[in-house]
Amino acid sequence: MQELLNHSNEINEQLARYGVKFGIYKDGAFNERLFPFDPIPRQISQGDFKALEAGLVQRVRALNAFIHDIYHEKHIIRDGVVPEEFVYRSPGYLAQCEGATPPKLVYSHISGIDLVLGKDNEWYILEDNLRIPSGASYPLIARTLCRRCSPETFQKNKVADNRNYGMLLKRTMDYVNAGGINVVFTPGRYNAAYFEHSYLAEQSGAVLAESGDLFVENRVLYYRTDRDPVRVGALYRRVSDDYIDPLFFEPSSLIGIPNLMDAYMAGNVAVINAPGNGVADDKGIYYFVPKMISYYLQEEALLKNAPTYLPYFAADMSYVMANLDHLVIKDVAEAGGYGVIFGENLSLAQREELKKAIQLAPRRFIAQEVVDFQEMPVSEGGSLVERKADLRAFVLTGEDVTVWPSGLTRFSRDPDSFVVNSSQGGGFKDTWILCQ
Amino acid sequence: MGCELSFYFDVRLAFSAPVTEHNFLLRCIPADAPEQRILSYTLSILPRSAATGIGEDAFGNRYCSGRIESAHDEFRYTLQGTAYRDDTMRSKADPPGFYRYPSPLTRPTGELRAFFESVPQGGSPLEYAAGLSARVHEHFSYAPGSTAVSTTAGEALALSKGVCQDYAHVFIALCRMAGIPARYVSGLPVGEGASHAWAEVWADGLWHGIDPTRGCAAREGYLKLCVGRDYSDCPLERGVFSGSAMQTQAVFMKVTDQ
Repeated sequence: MQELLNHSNEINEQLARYGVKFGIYKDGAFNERLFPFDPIPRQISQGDFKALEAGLVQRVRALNAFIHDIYHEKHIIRDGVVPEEFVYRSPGYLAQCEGATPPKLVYSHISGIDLVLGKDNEWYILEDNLRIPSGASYPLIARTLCRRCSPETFQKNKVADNRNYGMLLKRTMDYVNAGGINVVFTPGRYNAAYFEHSYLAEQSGAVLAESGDLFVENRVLYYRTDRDPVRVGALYRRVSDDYIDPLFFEPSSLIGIPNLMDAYMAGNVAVINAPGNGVADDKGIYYFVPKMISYYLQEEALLKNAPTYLPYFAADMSYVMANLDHLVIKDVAEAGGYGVIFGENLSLAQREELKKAIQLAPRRFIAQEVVDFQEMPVSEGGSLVERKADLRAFVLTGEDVTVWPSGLTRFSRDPDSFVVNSSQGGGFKDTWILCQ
Repeated sequence: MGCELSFYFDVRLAFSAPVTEHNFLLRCIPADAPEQRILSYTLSILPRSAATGIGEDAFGNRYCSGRIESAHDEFRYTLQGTAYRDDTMRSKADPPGFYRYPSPLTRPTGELRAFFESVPQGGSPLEYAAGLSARVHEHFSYAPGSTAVSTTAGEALALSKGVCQDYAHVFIALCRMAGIPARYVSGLPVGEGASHAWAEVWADGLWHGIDPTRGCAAREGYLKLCVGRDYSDCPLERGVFSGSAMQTQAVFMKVTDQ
């Protein structure tokens, strides 16, 4: 470990040279920050990982079943498990995707599930990211650099190799491929996550392409080459739903592919992740995920949600009104951590104002108990400090559902902050899954 | 009570300079539904090098997608055919849930809510909807050029004027506030020379056509081309191309009953 600490500056310099910045694409906007690396890894024992893995696989299977159901039969609404307005008012729900059936019925090929480890040693799910979860490249490249600086660290500590991510990604694309090559579709080099797009294309053996490199003809997607165009069978798109196709969605989009939705609906290309799957990672829908698990899989949820209340339900409303001072309130309409309000930080007047806002639009808010999660050591200016940290686990769905034996551990740089979102500043760590 | 409608559209788009890599999406092929059977249609597109496909979108509209790679300075499509309209054949299938909720161009605003509350409730859902339509019809003045295709219901109400699309959007927003499922319809009534927009509301287990611009019901004399939650779901034509050119459009559209 000391070895890695000694190389900290060197590794960060190399990351900066690679252009490793963190950009979170949410609600059509990029937040770009330098993303400092802390060499002390999060370590998860093999036993703990197995338990985590089972819970994540279960959760992603249920989410996938939910997305399929929502865009087809809607049993879960009819059976009264999820109120319909949580679906139809969700910004992630796209009526344009009704009836669309992706190859092999996979909707959430690459899921980024955010968790925290509570002081009670239990994992709690913070949120599901199903649209364009980014960040897998960071621990991947950090591991590569660490191995280069200090190979002996990885001989002494038996750490599961995480360099198979590219292979897992390729397997995910191959499984749903509708005939043709695999492409990583990027908005372009000015995008904050361009480094990740090019790196993942290289790692998975896919072609990296921008909108001008791709076109749809006769309901088939093609990649231009110097010679004949080549058919594309799987498109790992890193462009958000609104902008992927100027003819079916936002007409002003210059980074989309005209008629991509036409090729997709004809079943001629797999779009990874499937358009419209954001309906399942909505903050309001989060509340219902444990119910989805029992509804679709007839299983009890293995991983816990943070205790959550929906003011939409009368009983929850009275609880929230009575306990606002110790709850976290999240505005469902906002993302990126800015719409998160801690009741204890509000003045009496502000608290009353928030209560009124909640009563006026109950569907717009969720309330959660503050999960007291474990801190992790972070090296800061030569000494160790304790900081809050979360974990983004990457779950890939192909023929099987696989959890990547690693993950992105993000920590808050502000000692008082519970918000570990990189758009609020913060750094990252590698995540080691130990072989025993 | 049904009637046969023949339709003929000829739409020409002229570019001031050649364009390439032209991708388009046409929703002008009339929807084939129980109350409107398409007996025959022929769609032809110029230039002939256009590569096209026919698909069906999430709202049940038949569309033509296409691409013209090589340089051209004119794009033209003609569509002719016949439809059999019979409102007694309307489907009784439940409407999709999304027709009950706000859509991008019909989101409620404070002004829309106030306007909505000024209309007395009462009667059956269909009578209530007809009352809302009458209120829109009398409140709005028809003023071409005062609004654009992206104008929302809230913006149109603030102006109190607009074209058929705006009348339809405001009416649809009001219906959804009243809990009545409503959808936007693009099409052509017999005798009109350009496309028109109206709405359908779901009441008593059926869709009913209501035309707030004309202040009347929209029945068999209306040829339906496409439907959606609002205009943004079903523009008759959309296109993107490479090149710097001005576009001018010449439209001939005609529907006749026999």
